[in-house]
Order: sequence, then structure tokens, then C-alpha cells
Amino acid sequence: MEFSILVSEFASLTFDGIVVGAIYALVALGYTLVYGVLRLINFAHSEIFMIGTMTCYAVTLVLGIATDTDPLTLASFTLVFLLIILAASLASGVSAVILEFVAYRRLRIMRASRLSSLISAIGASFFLTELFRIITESRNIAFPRLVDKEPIFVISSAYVTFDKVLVLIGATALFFLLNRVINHSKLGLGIRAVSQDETTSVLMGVNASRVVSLTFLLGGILAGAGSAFYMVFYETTKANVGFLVGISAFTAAVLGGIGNVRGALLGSFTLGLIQQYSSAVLGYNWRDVVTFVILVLVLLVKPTGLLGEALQRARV
Amino acid sequence: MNERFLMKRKLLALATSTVMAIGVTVAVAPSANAACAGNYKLYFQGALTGPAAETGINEYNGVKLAIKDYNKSASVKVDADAIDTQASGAQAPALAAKVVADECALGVIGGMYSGETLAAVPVYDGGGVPVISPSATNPALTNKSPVFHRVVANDLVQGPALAKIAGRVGKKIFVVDDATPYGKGLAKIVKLNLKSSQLAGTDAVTEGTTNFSSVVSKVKSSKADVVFYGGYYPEASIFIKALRDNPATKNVKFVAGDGVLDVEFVKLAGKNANGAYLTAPGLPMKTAAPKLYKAYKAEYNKEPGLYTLEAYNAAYFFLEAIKKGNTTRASINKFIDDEVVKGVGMTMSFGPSGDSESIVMNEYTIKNGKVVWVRKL
Repeated sequence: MEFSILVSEFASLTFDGIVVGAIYALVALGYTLVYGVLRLINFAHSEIFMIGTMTCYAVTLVLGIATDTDPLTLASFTLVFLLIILAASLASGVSAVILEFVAYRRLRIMRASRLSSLISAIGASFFLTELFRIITESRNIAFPRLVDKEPIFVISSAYVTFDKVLVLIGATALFFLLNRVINHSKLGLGIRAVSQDETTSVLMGVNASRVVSLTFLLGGILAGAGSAFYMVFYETTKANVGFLVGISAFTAAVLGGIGNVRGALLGSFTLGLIQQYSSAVLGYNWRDVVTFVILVLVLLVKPTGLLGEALQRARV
Repeated sequence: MNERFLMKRKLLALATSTVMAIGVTVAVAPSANAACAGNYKLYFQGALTGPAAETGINEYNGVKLAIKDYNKSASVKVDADAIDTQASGAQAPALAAKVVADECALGVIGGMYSGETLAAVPVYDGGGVPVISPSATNPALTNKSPVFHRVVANDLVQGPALAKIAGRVGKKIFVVDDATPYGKGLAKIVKLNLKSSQLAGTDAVTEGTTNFSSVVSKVKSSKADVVFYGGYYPEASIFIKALRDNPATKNVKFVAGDGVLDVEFVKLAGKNANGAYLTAPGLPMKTAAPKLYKAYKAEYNKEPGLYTLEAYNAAYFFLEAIKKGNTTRASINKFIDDEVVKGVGMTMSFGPSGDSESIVMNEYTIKNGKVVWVRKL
């Protein structure tokens, strides 16, 4: 155990924890939005994220950016990144909608038990992972370095690099955008209505199927955007990348209070920080042990997660 | 429900029972003909798909080439077959059982990595299937079963060599492993061979991780000038990139064993791979067996990988045994234990533990994106 590292490397661990947390948050929101509306854990959501990362890679292939090229200039990076994040969001969003249509819709309309949907979710997740495992021969894929990672400035022990700043700014912008959509748009009103009481909202004229589709679309778009940030930050992907990120994001959503948007954000940043601190102090291989011990402890004290009370009133 | 639904269910039931019937027939088939009817088979065990596939494909190519060369003039023909473990210890035992059940299987070239081999050897032992591994280097493998042999030196040779290199290129060494039998085992031997004043710190990651930022922070705060990584190239390539991206650890020397030495490492890590200090008990085919190197390139139209030569020779040992009239697993195992075989570019014999009697260790580096042999250690 090395507690001294918490002091000497505090800034860098904290900064990285926040960056990782921001990526988790973009994925966690997808879990929490769908849960809010359908009371369903969309276990295939991690694969929606994976499809995003693969799309990012495909875009660089199409643009002819080789893995070993020098980082792009700021102008061309902006252009390429916009293209990547749009393509990934689109691919993930559309995949999420298709997923809902294929794996969940009929079960929902037939009023199948929630367990059937859960199994369907797990099945869809396996299907997509294995599909991409076959396509990529389950190899690791190296993503080109799109932007220079020389530090812009240094805060104590933390090197602030462009990619990390991009993740933070981009994710924050998306959170605000999501907040506006949910609280100030007709779609948001629909989502909130269905999440509170589906039957009543349908009686009030809400098209529940449409709201569900759009919720999946929203979650998919966020995961796709998250995957673009992930790729610029980590520069690698593989068929089971969704599992690694998804399990953390899902844990974050539960930690914060599943079904609660603010909870997902809080849970994600908390989890990012816990992971960084615990792996520095105890060693990386203790990271998940600490993470899940904390999760269990939180759930013992507050079974609904950190922001649990809100669950009853405003689900989303 | 409606008729269509019932119809569907009936069809499904029919399909299921058909599939089951076929399954039963297939399962019963081998015991019907007790002796091997067709050609004898040598199996390769390793990853043909998955993150470690590059190493596995290169090894299997070596095996196939050896068998092809042999079949040109042999009276008893041999076929090459493979079980694709994806280098996973979880998958290996079930696949090994398939080999044991195959009456035509005379031996196994493999496993490729230590973890999958540790998992599979007890199964081969149960079926008396002789095994020669071209590349599994964990010391715990030998002395366990009379069927296991390997043509390469083990990590009790590689570990001290790596510790020496680490001590040569820097003063404070940070040791990281990936918690696999191979990576953890090798890191342990390296640590034992370092003076306590040399060891700056340790950490262990998990296979498949992409987030090395906390490890880099630890390396940085330990003020180490050398990092040793016990593990394989998929993670090593991400780790070395993370080290090079941090200004404080940019110039830290990167030392690793044969699990990292692969062209795929260069492909994944790019320029960052340059200058890495690597070792392997394997010989470079180009210099050790130039004629075979040419034949290999003509056959596969690509460069051989690390351990292609060893895989070729492991297969060669089996083929020599078959050539001398040994066509049972037991007699081949005895042949392997007793005989000295001059293969291509290397002479092979095994001690009582199953370890190779010739100890070879080489230092390699990456230069301009190419794996370069540096010296014999």
C-alpha cells in the first residue's frame, strides 16, 4: 500500500479520474435513460458503444489516415473529429433503435415478463460481440493518433493535454444538451411522462413506442459520442471493448441511482475517481475489488443509489 | 395462441430434435472405428484467432511447412490439424480433450502460451498424448507430466537475462505484470534477480485493460528509469504508449520478454515500440536457418514470426519419430525422451524434466518499426 502516492500524484490521478468518469457518464446515461422509461437494463448498450468505436476506426480507414501518421493540425483535426463523432453517434444511435425494435419491442407489446427482456438483452449483447469478434478476428485495433498529446499546461502533477480537455468540454456540452432535451422539449416531456406512468401517459395521448424508440436513439447517440472521445483518448478498441467500459458505466449508473440522470453523472465521476485512487494505492488488480466493495456498501446503506430519493418523483 | 404460432413451435421442435440426433451420431462416431483409419495427425495448440493470433498463425505455419516437407517423401502420411484456444486457459482443456479422443492424433505441438498449456497438459497426460511446446516458457510446466516437452529455454533462463538487461540500461526498475501465469511468473523471476536497491516499485494489471494511467503515475512517482513488463503485446503496446505520452516517463526504458516480441506489437504501438529491450529463447529463422527461411517466404509470402522456427522443429521431432516407425503415442513419447534430433538450425534433446537441453537466449530490439536481433545472451 502506498498512500504517499495519493499526495504526490493527487492532481494527475484526480484529473484522469474525471476524464475517465466523463466517458463512463456518456455510456451510463444510456443505461439510465432506458431504465427510466422501460425498467429494463439494456445489457446490449455496451455493444452499442463498441459499434461506435468501430465506426470511428472505419472513418479513419475511409479517410485514409494510417495508424502511424503524425498528429493532424488543429484545423484538420477539428474537421476529422466532427466527422468521427457524427458518424459514431449516428451508427450507435441507429443501432440502438434497431436493437430496441428487434430485441425488445415485441416482448414489450406482448407484455412478456421483464425477465424475457433481460435474457433478450443478454442475447443481443452476445450476438453483437461475437459478430464483431468474427469480423475483426478478435484482434486489437490500433486507432491513429489524431491530435498531439504534448501537455498544454501543468497543474501540480497533472499534465493537461488537448485530448483530455476535449473529452471534458465535449462531455459537459452533451450533458447540458441532454438536460435541455429532457426538461425543455416535447420529447423530454414524453420521456418523463412514460417513465412516471406509461399507462396514464398513453391515455394522455403520448405515443409510447415512439418515446421508447427516441429514448434508445438518445442513449445510442450519447454512447456513440462517448466512443469517439474514448477512441481519441485511448486509441484502441476490440470486439469486447464494450464489456470493459459497459460494466463500469453500468456500475456507475447503479451507484448514482439507476433511472436518475444526475445520479448517472455523479456515479460516473465518483467511480472514475475511486478507480484511479484505488489502483494507485493498492495496485491496479485491486481496482475492481475496491469498486464493487464500495458499490455494495453504498447499496446496503442506500439501496436506491446515491441520488436514490429522486427516483420516486422525477425518474429522469 | 393462433395456428401460425403453433406451427412455428412444431417446426422448432422438429428442428431441435433433428439437430440433437445429428449431434448424437457425431458424438458416437469415433468409438465405432477404434483404430485410426485415415492419416495420422499432429495437432497444433494455440491461438489462430483472438488478440494473440499473430503468434499462433506464425507457429502453425511452421508446423504445416514441416509436415508438408515430410509428406513429400514419406510412406506414412501425416496431416496437420489445429485446436484454436485463442490462447485462453479456459478453453484449452475442452479442446485438448478433443485431441485425446481423436484416435489419429499422435502428438501436439504447443501450447503456444504458458497459461493455456498449464491448463491443457493434465488432459494430454490422461490420454498419453506427447506434447512439444515451441514457446511456452513458464518454469512450472516441466516436471509435472512425462508427456510435456519444450524446445525453448524456460523463464528461469529468460528472467535473469531480463534482470541483467534492466540493470544494464538503468538504475531503478519498476516491475509490472499482467497477472497471467506467464507474465506474473516471469516478473517474479525478474524481481528475484534484482537487488532490492534496484527495485523501484511493482504493480499488476489485468489482461485486456486499456487504462494504464494509474500505473504510469506510479512509475512517475517512483522515479524509475526502467520499466519491466511481464505480459503480452496487446497490453504492452497500450502501456508503452501511455508511458511515452507522459513527459515524466517519456524516456523510461521499456524491457519485456518474449510475450511482447511480435510484429503485432509494432503494429499496435507504432513508433513508440522503437527502442524497446526484448528477449526471447527463440532463434531468428533468417540467420539460423536461411534455406528454410526462403522456403517459408515462398510458401506463405510473409516473414516468419518469433517461434516459427521452433514450431517447425517441434513438428520435425514428431515426424522423425514417425519416420522411424513409431506410430503409437507411447512409442513416440519414448522416442522424444530418449533421442537427440538434429532439426533445422537447431539440435533438440530433452532432459528428464522435459526441458530443452540446449539453452538459447537472445536479445532483440525494435528499430524503425522492425524486430531486430541484437545479440546472444
